[in-house]
Amino acid sequence: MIALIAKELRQLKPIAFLWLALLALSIGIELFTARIDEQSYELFCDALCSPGIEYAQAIFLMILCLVTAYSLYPREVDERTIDFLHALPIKKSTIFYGKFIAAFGLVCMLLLFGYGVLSLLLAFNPESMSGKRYFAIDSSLFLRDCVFAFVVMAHGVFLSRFRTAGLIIYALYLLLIRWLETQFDGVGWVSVFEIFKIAYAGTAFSFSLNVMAGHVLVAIVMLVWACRMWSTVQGKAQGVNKNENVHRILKIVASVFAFLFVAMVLVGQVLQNSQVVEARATDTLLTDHYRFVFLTSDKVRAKELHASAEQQYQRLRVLLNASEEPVIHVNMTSENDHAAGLAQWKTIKMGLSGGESPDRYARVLNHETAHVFQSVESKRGFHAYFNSTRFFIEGMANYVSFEIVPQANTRRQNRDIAAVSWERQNIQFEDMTNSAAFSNQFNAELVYSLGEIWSEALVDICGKDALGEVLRSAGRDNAPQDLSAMVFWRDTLQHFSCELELVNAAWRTKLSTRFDNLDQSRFPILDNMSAVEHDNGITISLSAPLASEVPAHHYALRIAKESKSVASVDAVFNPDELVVEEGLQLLTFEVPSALIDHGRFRYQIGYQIDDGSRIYYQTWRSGSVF
Amino acid sequence: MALAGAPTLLKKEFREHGLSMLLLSGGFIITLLLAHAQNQQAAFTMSPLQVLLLSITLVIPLIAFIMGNRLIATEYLGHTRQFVESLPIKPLVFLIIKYLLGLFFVSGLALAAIAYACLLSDSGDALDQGLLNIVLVKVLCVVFFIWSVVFCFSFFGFLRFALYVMLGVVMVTLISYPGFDQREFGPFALLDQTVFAFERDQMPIKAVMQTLLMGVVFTLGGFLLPLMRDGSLIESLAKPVNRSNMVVLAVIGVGILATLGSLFEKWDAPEYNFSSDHVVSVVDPPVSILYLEPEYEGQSQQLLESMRVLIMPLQQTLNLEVLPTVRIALDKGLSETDLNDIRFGAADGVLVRANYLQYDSFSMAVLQTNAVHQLIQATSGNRRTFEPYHWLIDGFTRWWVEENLDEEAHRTELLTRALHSLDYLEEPIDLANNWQWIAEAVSYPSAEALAYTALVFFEQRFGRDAVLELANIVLVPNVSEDVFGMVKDRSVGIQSPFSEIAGQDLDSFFTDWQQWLLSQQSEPAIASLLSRLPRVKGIANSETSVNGVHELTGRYQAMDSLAQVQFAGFMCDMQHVLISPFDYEIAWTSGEHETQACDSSDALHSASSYYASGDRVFVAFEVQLDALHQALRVGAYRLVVE
Repeated sequence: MIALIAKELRQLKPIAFLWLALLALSIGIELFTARIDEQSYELFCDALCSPGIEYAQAIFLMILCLVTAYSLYPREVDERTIDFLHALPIKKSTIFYGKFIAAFGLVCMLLLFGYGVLSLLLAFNPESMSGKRYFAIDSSLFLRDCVFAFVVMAHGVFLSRFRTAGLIIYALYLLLIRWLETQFDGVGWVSVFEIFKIAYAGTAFSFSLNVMAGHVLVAIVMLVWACRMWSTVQGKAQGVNKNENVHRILKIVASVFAFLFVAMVLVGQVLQNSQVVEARATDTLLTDHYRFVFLTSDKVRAKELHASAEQQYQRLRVLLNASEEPVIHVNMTSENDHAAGLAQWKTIKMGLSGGESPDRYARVLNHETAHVFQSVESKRGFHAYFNSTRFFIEGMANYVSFEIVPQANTRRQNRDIAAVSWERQNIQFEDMTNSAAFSNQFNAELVYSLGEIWSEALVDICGKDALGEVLRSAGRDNAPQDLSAMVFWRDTLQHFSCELELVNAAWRTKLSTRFDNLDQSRFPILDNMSAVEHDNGITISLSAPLASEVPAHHYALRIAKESKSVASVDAVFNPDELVVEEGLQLLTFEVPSALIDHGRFRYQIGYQIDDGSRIYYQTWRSGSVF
Repeated sequence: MALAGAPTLLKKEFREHGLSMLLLSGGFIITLLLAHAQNQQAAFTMSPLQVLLLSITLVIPLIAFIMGNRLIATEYLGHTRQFVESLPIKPLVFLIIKYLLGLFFVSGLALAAIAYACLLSDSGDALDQGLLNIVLVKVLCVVFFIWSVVFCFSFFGFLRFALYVMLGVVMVTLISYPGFDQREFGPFALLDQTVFAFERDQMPIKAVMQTLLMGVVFTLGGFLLPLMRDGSLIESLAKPVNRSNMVVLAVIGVGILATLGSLFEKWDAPEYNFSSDHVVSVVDPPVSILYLEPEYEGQSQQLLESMRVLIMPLQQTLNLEVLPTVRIALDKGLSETDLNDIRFGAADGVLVRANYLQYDSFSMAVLQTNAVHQLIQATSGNRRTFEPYHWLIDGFTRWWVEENLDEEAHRTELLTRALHSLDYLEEPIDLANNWQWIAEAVSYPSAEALAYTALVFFEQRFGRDAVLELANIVLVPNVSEDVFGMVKDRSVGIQSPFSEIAGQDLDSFFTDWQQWLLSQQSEPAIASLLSRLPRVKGIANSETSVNGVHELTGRYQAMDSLAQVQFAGFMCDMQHVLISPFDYEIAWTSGEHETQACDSSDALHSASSYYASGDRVFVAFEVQLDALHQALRVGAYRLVVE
């Protein structure tokens, strides 16, 4: 057995070299671009051991394991060395398990080496706090990776019997997980990535042993099955025996049936979704710069928009001092619940069936048209800086749309919410320049109103052409790329002699003045949250001071959807019940259990300050089921 | 009869690879269907054509790779080519068949994907001829390029994997290279997701031509390689990779990285200068101050002059050859009184924001210290806030500012603050190697006061020149952002130069300094001020009520249990923030602050429903009193919510 394992390890050397080369490359980059003694466990863990699932890391390990598993048998068969192996006076199952143990052992050794090197690098940090070591977590991560490697390698060695078809099946399995996540709130233990999920209780590390046990059990069954399959295989040139023929036919028949089944289900679903719109008739209206396509049933609203669209387009162009006049295709057949409108390059998608006021639709059209101008005038310059510029992209579009279609009440409500959030949640300009972190900490929609006020401050300080100048500055030839957010903004504004500090100061003054002048009792603070599990889900209760007198339907509870392979919109719930008791409004929300992972969740509680206003959300907090 | 034997070869290829092609097509179609199903569920999708991007960038390359592997690599590595070549068919025909078969196969899949996207689009998408033509050209160009690369690389035998990795590294590096605009170049431009499914008017001629040209180059490479030296080159490439190949590969890899690295080095971020009429500045030393309104020019001019007086001798004394511009911006949004509200960040170079209009002499000294601190940090390559040095840069910058101001009241306040903080620290106090925990326990202003008093003691014992010599050796050298910089810096360190200058090691110095510091409390001014400071400890309590509501509360108790807590008129602040399982420095600006008029009630501070069981929370308590300019930290904890 040992000789067999040694022989396998020799054959697997190229994979080990590849892994080591990649490790050496990453360490080399680290050594030549950073002072390694300043790397801390916190920085390292930000990428590798944050709570939840690190998909990039899991997929990398999965690829390595599949490559290793695929290199065990298929090549032996192709080169006919399998016959020599099977001719040895060793049981075929011993050969199989010897191969598997060697491959699994190699991956574990490589993982151990990787963690060892990382630990060594982190050991260079002598600082009393940042240089602190966490051997228990290192060990747990290593063990978790080994379990994951075992499971994926068992899958791999089984699927390698089906060669390319096996890989395709696995790819489909992974795609299916992604698809299921978009259909349901979670896929549970079905996903192999659940093994990778980690959580912390204080500084203690934990993972789901039940999920691991389930996957290991399935993996063992697959391993035994794979052993039986590979033990009957002969070298390629030996001809095809009867078993092989049967196997080949079975494989084709199974593949065709599986393919047809999955394809029919998917085609059915896709066509079903498509028919919703396709069944309804559409019309088209043209202006010099717009092409409206809308549902015939929305003709009146479309005509209203059409009547003023060209004039508003020209006002927008003048506001931005735009050099180009893009022709825009507007698809008005959308029924999107998440966004009033969307824009990409020279295309806009919005809906007219929501029963909103004409002004509202006109403002959505102008908002999205502003996005088109942003893309064209900046020559797509904002795309690479989306994370740093999202507040301006949305804020500026909001600003110009309000300038063209003044909805004074809506604008005031938005600004009030922005001012209260800014003051209470201590939001800085630097926070806005990191959209991903902003969404994680605050209400993501705040970028619209905070950015709108910032855009106004920009115009106040740097002149009426400043909005367009920002776009052209970002898209200028030889504009530096890959700058950090703050440096990007300083550089972009500096290019047309506009001072970021002055704009920010004006922005803060506007927010501060607004906050000082508004009635803060309209913004009660909600707390006393408790979450209790019952048969049908989880009841989350909160209380608000009665003086606020917010109607029940105005409240909203947002639960973060985390650890998903596909980015998805967080779930929002309205209260099931509102009871007034001892000077408090008591709210209860019913939340499906699938949304709450291991009894812990992140939530935001919010409410509308008036009918139709945006929702004011408090900061993200964490809760646990009692 | 140039293509004589082609039908036979084609049949042979279909016989060998037909099933795989069928399976790959099936897999591709299911992937496509899944992607479309997912696309329809997605919140922010606009067109079925967007799904094409996923197919072209992920699935088609994978399929092309598998096809290249089967059609070319396996045949050459398995030496079955020799059998085929023994047939009366020209080698070129053999290659053309393989090339066209692969190209038509992957192009066919791509066309099927376009056709299906068209089928799913509705009249709202208005998939007109212009849009369709542009998408078709883009997709086919990219597919041609992908297949050409695969075709060429597949002849490289075992080296092909290394070539793919290298190509991947080059692409990633190019994308991240600041001077490379991917929106304008070849396949990157064609696959730009912003315009891919939405450009209806302009055919990207330049990008199309670049992509086709690159595809042609790879195609030619693919055709030439097996024909060179009658195929002997391919024969040698088909051999397993030996050590010398590995060395060559490693050298090529390092060469590419080094070249790209040097390209990176040529990039300099643009220099930032204030763009406003409301700026006062001097060139030597470079200092620039931005004020908001003309009425603030006078105060800003005074600040500018004080900074000039401070920095010019510093430059001469520490032999700082090139100084970055010191920029201070007036920010009226920040607190006029709270000196924690002086802002600076590493990305900004030397830029300090403060609302300095109402600052008194002490507050101005804090602002100046911040600016000098940032200056030395920038000239040293952002190395001096690293722990063995952090106490020295904090202490030295404050010492330098105070030496220039020569205000006895400042000295008294700093010594008093340092003495007060001793009650909250465990002995021995090792400023060099335990700085992060000391700063957390007593807050940065108190840690700075401790460091300042250590420098004052050092000056008293060893003289002013010794202070400057220590700063010169330890704080000034610029440390490059790589392992060489680290090794060079660590080889000097702080212990050895300190021992050489002081004639004693740091530990014994800190012991002596602590004794000296304690002796200062007998000074009348210090004793008087010290007596006015509260000797209290902030206590955090985390509990969950019977109905499951979590509450974090804070209270204060006397350090000496017999004493009553006396802090009427003071303001108490509880900072709380969710932290990760791993320890790192927590900024004062992080998380939530709950400020109340101080009293000794059981739950003066309360934070309801912020945290859940298993969360780790940092809690700090500070007391602000009129006698000091900055709040006193009286407790800091890292709790785990049960």
